[in-house]
Amino acid sequence: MTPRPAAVDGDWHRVHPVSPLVRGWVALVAVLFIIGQNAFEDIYRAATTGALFANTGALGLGAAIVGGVFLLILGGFFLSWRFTRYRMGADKVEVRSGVVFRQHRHARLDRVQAVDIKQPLLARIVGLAELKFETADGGDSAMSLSFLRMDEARMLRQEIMRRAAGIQSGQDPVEAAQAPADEGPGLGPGAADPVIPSPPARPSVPSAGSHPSDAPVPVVAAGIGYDYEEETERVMLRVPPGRLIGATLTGSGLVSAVLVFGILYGAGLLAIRWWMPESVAQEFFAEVGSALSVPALLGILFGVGSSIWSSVNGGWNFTVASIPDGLRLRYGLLDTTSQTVPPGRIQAVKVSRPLLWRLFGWYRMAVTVAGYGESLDGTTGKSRLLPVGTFDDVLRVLTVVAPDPGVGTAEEARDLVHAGLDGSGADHGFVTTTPRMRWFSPLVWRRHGFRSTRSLLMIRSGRLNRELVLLPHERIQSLQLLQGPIERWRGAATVTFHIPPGPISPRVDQLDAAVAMDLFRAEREVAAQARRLRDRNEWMRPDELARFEQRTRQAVE
Amino acid sequence: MPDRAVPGPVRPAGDRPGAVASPAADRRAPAGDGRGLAPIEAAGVEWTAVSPRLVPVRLISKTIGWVVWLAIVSVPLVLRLSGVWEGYPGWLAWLLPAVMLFWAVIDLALVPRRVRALGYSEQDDELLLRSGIISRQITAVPYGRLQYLDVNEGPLQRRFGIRTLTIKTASGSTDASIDGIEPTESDRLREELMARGQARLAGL
Repeated sequence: MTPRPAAVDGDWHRVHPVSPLVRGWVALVAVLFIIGQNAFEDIYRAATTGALFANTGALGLGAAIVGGVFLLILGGFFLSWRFTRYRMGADKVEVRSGVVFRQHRHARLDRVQAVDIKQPLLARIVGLAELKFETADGGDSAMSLSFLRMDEARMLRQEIMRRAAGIQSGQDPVEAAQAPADEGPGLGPGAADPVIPSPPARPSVPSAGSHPSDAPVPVVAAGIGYDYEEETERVMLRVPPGRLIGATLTGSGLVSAVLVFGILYGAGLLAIRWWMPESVAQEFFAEVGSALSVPALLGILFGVGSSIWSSVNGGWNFTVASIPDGLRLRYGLLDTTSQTVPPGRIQAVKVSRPLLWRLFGWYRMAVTVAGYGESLDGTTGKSRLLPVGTFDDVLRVLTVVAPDPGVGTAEEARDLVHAGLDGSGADHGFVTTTPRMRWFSPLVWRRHGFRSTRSLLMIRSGRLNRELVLLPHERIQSLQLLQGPIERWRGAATVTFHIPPGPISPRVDQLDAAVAMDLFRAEREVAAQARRLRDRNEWMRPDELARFEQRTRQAVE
Repeated sequence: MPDRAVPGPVRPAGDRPGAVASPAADRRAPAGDGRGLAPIEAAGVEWTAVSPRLVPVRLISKTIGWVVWLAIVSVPLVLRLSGVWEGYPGWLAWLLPAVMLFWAVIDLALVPRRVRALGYSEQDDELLLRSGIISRQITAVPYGRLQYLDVNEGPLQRRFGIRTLTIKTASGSTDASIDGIEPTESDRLREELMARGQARLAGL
């Protein structure tokens, strides 16, 4: 490979030569295993029957075929490596791939929503990493470069984020990153604050005391002869393994599944015991019971076990760190992922608490970012912002992802979030479901509600599983006012907000119709105004921003 | 309302003259405390109605749909009457098509009122759409959120000279389409929306 600054010099480059091996090792091992097993059996049989040396021709043919297949696969790997190339231009990334069917894909840097580094197990062992870009089309990753050396991947990610943020870098990487590259690692905690320029500098929600790991952790990429430095990151919180396992076990889906199964199973057994004649019951337990229940139980246990495993594996050592670009999430036991969540791309945040977590004071957070795509409920995959954390953890993450709660003091903000998660009724300015609808939602009518601050719309819901959605006004794509026949009879109406696809679908149910109409009108006005003033896409390049401003001015006049 | 680049025809809507008032305005005075119990309404908005030619288009396409459904649920009845499937309960054989026919008649009878309830309005910053008589909805789509715009025209629609215009935002849940606008109006609206979308382009 070419020396250090190569990856970002604007020329075509290839991914690491062993990449196809890392990607296709399962297939290769499988082929080798099958061939090897057959050959071994043949040789063994031949040797035991004494026909080994009588048949060397056939054996040689077999070895030739095995060798040929192996070489073919390796040749395929070589070709696929040879034909996969990437180039990082000033405003776009291009990837060419394919031997027979060629593909040439461009992604505009200013449309890149996020860049992640992923390390599957084998890649991790050999020190390689996959780089994935998300754009706003909501499908799979727009592009992925697999595999690069870890330091190369880090460097590319940093460069892409920088260029996406509109900094023409490469010329002034030090200034651009606003990172004291000359000081290097080993900074005292006192020097931490000026290092992190943008998002956490607005302490609107309190950081809730000092955290043991608040000290900066500068990670220096092993770049030799090139003054690239990994962004200084400050670890905000780390989820302890014990808490992760406990949260997985008490997380609502699993528990309710096991409970439902246990109740049905027990009820079935009891029913047979009580209502069947003694002899029939005994026969049942002797034959059908043991035959049916053990595999069924095993199946259920297997399902439960694999779901626990995937959740623990995916959330292991979950670390949230703040970097100049936003949030850096790192997680994974076998396959590790390092994900960057840019605050400017966050469309909505959800804080929720399953029923049993109330015992421990735990919460989980999910986020909608265009490009992450659909996610069932934000408990897995990229939409997950925090698998489990305390109230203080939630506030700490909120300082970055929703830095401006739009209310007076930090104390008020804290109380407001608390009211959103645990309050009911009209406390802290929340407007709830109209009392006229209480017979249709007897449990939740005092919980369902919204509060509109200067910058956010906060929507709370749920009594057993509680939920709070934070939705910046200017992120609303479109909105709808609905009134069904029952709502019309009781003088209520519902407002739905449309945001890009993700785990969050914000709606405020069954408000007093007049309140709903006011909310609908106010939100239209606030959103339009907030967009005009604020939605000058933070990641635009300066010239684009100028054009945008000019167009806005023209439009306003 | 801002000046329009190309003055489009502001049509009288069906039997009502001028821009229609909301269907809520002429019915059902607010009861009780006067707040809240009134049907939902976007205050001070003048709605443009869609073309009344949408009524026959919807009637025809819905009739076709209902006939197909009726044919499907009538299969057991035919089998029973022709003696192929004697064991099928007679009451069920008659009930299913009867219920289906009842629904179909109600659905078809409501078509003209449903079409009259459709409307749209171009505001300074957004396009408003309304629909529904029993379940009402009002949708607001800010111009700056427009990602792309579809104009569709099926064979039946072409025959009656109307089109469907669909507006897409970055949110998959935005459900904003105007059914039954005339070609000249759809061209004007498309140009207008695209121009406004450009001017107020806000990305995500």
